[in-house]
Amino acid sequence: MNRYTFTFLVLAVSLLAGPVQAQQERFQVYGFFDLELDGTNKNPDDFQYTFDQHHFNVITVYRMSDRWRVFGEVEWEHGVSLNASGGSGLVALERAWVEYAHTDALRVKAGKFLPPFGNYNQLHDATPTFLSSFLPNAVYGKHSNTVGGSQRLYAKFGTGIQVLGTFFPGSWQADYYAYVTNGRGPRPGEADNDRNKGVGGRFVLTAPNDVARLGASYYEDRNGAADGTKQRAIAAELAFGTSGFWLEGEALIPVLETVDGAGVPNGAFRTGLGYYVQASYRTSAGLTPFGRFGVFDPDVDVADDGDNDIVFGLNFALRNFAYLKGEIQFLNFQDPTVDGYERFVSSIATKRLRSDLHGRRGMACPVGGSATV
Amino acid sequence: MIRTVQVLAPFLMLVFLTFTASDVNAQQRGGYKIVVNASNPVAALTADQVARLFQKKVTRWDNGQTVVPVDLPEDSRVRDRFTQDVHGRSVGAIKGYWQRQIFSGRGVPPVEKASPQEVVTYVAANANAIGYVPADMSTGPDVKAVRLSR
Repeated sequence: MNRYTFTFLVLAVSLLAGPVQAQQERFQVYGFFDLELDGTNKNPDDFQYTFDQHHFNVITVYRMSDRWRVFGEVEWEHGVSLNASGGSGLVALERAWVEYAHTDALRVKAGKFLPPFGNYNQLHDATPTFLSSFLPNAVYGKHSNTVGGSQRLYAKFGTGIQVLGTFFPGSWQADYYAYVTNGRGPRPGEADNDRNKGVGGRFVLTAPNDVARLGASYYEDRNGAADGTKQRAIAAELAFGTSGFWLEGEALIPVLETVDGAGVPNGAFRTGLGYYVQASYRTSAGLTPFGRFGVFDPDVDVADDGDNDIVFGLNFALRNFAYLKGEIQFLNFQDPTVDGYERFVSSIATKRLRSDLHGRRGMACPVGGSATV
Repeated sequence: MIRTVQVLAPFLMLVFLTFTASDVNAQQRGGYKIVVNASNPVAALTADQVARLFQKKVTRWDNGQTVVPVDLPEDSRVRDRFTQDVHGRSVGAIKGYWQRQIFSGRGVPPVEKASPQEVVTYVAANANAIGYVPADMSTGPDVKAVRLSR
């Protein structure tokens, strides 16, 4: 190596190494994985159980500048194996959006996102972030719609534009979200091509040290999955706790347009009600027992059409990136002709909380190490 | 009565001094000090402000520049004291907070440096950084301590 080559290399390394200490990571990768063991005695004569490699999700965050970033999430679900003739499982682009942060109080997000609705929809399927293996069914589950199908009472996904921000009234924190999306048509990610959009918002107040939270959410669209019927949903959330104890609850009021005998929307509406309450206590050993009671009534004007579920579970933090969960769910139906049953779920969920790949000058080239914490 | 006052006086004085000195001594009591780049005009912050900066609830300094918080490793005793004192919660609870932030798309946790010396080096090299290091650590001319108040 001659002197000029050596000098060039020293200069190059100096120029490249300098900015690393002076900036944040540009490109980061996160993700989560879970495996469930799911059993039910829904058929009393034939207890069945199955393993389900439910989620393998990879999240990438690319910070283009101090104000711009791109977020993406790809999901491989149910041990996906696809081929030309079909296969099983699912691969999906769960989220892909760009965000511009004008200030903390004003950000704009555009792309495919998880509409902020209730406490959990933005957390989505990230099971390491919540105690149970599944979200509270009364608010987040699928329920019968007016044309005999099954659907959520809000949109789990949305493609469009969102405005959001955080501000501080005194020592409290306030977060707001407002969005317009394509809604839930046949092709909600691209050619919606109508004037009926999904519209929603969420407002959350959080107490100092996050010891309490209260919020409200709203969503409406013309639901293409149910013969174009109109739908609105209003939800309220409340949570508080201290010293390991945590109590939370949400209530949902869905208003769904009904259809006539020919399946045509008739301009009449039915109102439902769903709510749940969940209590938990986290011990210093990482054990968190929890209990939940949920109710869903699809039409408050019709008697004996509702159901409820009671869940008892235990969440154990093996490490700060791995959780073992076990729970039993008791499902009961008001309709005397429908038998209740139990469902047993245990799972292991892991997350990758940090992986720093130091990109620089717009290049997403990994030059640093990675560590799991 | 006089004797009672005499007995209680030192104790009452100690209580008084403890409360009045809590602001200025908070960092020393917790074994850490908040540090920023020497060019940063900030001289004092409240614990609430520091908590918001480290949780990225507030992401900009008053001059509009992006705040760059830097953490110590999870098993650091200094981080434990800082977290309990400033956030009023455990390191585990803050990790849980960041889990929800990451997976909801809200934000990502601060950079972590392996040692207080690396924090000082990082803050010295970044005009917008803020970190914390042991209270008795010498930080050099490019980094200054910020007074922490309640």
